[in-house]
Amino acid sequence: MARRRIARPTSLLAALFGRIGVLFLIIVLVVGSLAFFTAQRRINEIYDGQLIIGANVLRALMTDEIKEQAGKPSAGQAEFTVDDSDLLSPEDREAFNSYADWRMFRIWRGPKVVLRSDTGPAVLPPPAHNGFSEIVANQERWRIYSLPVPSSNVIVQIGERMDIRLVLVQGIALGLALPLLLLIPTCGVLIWLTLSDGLRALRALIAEIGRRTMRDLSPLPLDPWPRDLHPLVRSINRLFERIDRSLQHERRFLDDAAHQLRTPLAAVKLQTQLIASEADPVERQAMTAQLVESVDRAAGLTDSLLTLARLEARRGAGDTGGDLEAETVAAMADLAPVAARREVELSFEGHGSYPGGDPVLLRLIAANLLENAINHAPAGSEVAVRLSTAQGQRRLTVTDAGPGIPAAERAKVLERFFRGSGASPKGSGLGLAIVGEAVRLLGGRLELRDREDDAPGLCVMVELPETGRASA
Amino acid sequence: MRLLIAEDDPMLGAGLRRALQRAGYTVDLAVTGDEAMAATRAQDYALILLDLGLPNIGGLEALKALRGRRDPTPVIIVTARDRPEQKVEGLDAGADDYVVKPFDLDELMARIRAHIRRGEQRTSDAISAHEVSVDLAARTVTLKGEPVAVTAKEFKVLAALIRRMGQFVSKEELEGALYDDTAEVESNTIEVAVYGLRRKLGSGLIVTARGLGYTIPKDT
Repeated sequence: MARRRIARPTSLLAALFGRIGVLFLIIVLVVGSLAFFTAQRRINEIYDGQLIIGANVLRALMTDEIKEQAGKPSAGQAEFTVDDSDLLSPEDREAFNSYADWRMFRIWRGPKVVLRSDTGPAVLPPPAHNGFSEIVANQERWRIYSLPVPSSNVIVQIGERMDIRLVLVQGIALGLALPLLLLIPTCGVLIWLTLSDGLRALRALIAEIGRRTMRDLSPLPLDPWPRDLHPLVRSINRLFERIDRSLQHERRFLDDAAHQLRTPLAAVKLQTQLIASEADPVERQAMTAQLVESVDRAAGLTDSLLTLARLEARRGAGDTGGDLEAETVAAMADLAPVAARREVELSFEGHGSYPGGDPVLLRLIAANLLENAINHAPAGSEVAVRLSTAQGQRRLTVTDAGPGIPAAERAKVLERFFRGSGASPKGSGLGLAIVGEAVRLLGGRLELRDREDDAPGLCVMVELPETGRASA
Repeated sequence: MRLLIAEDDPMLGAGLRRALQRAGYTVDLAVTGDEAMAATRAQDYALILLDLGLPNIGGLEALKALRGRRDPTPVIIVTARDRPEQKVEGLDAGADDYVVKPFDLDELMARIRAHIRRGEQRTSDAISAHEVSVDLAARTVTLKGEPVAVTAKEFKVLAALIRRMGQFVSKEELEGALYDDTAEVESNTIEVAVYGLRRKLGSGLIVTARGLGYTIPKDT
């Protein structure tokens, strides 16, 4: 299975906190800037509005005076200032002066100033156009609104230093920044606490799994955990289930094995008790021989059990230097005396090279199949061993002329301790189980079939991949 | 007395048969469930020793089939399966007793005697009639308290008759109690044994009736 590479953070909590922290900072900056710029725009609008109102008020206040003066012959064309003009009442002037530092006004008649405040840039160019304009004088920026009075050449001009707006905007910015700066660490702490609280469920789950032992593999309940953890809990439950199944399998095997050993042991005990009470020396001798046979059977069964138990350990042996032909021939040589005693002929076909696979497993397969065939073959019959290659598979078939195995029992004989109706009394019920396990470890296939010539007997076929171990 | 052993392990089966024969029982041996079923249909057994792990028909199935035929023969399960639930299953299937391998021979023998006794509704293995006392467990015979030596065949005939005191036992039944399937029946064995018993224990002990067989009358 392909495994995705995942960048591994040292801590889930730290990683989450980092990401959320950055996000939070961006949000604070955006909200702060938005607030700042909105405030700035509003301030400009309000102040501009005030300028317009101011200009209109001034014009309204001075309408009569302007008319009067306009009626006078232009003897007094001189400039008026606020101080020496009685265009404004003292109260008006007072009010104007109180914030006169940053405000100014001019009244133009044609190209000439007829009235102006003390403040403001000393020299001002005539208004370039009606409406707003900005000028810089004495390193001060002024915003000026020019309002022409209709049906006269009088223009009312009112201005304001930009600094005042800046001070206000700065005040707002400061007022915004301070709580935001306080908000960042406060929220940081809150986010950290929330995250670690959220991960508490995960920690509890870890602790719960940590408490489990091999004895307690019951599935974890889903209810106590947040929904996000359900897939994890389910995966763990599936793992528990698999472990539990394999444990049960092993337990059952151990149970079966112990039970299987009891029968030969019962025979040993019984025969020993019989011998102890047998007076006839000839009888005793015969019974002692039977006792030895019983002990041999128990030993044989123990060997088979050990073989089966050790097969699992060969899974990782990694030895692939075996050759099916070499191991088959060696197994035949080993069993030739047994075959001779039972008057069974052995034949071999298919010399060649069949490399690959763990030699120990190959030998086990060949030896067990041969032994089975020899034990079931009637005297005078033949056990035929054949090797061949087909479609990338090495094929070993062992054919005997014994009673065979009914088709219905064929799947069951591969189970441990199953002894079919035609089982030889000497069998442990483990031979084919051992072969099946070894074949599985080699990535091969085992099949029990009728003889090709339909004569009574059994043909066992083992197919092993040519490269030895399967890649699976 | 004829017993059936259903056991597929040849060593254990042979050993059990030998032990039971030595104790004076006539023994048949079945090595598969099929054979055991066939034997129980063909013969009445005093008791059956049943292994559960029999090839083709399992011991439990054979037992259920036997009880399904309302056959009350005492059955002792002799098996390697020792878990409580397995014992419960075996006993509930109709077994009278459950012995786990490896067992003690003397204990198994005692259980066999106990179940036969119970089956015949006796309280003791010692049966007396007409001053003759037969101990089925110890296989001894006494007359007026004095031990009497009898042959194995004489004892089997005496035991078969005294266990069914007051009833006629046919010659064929006596032969069945004497010979297992493998032995060849000699034609006048029963007559010889009865003659021997009459000679040793008194001529009035065993009564013969043509067509009915033999009987030991009840004490009056």
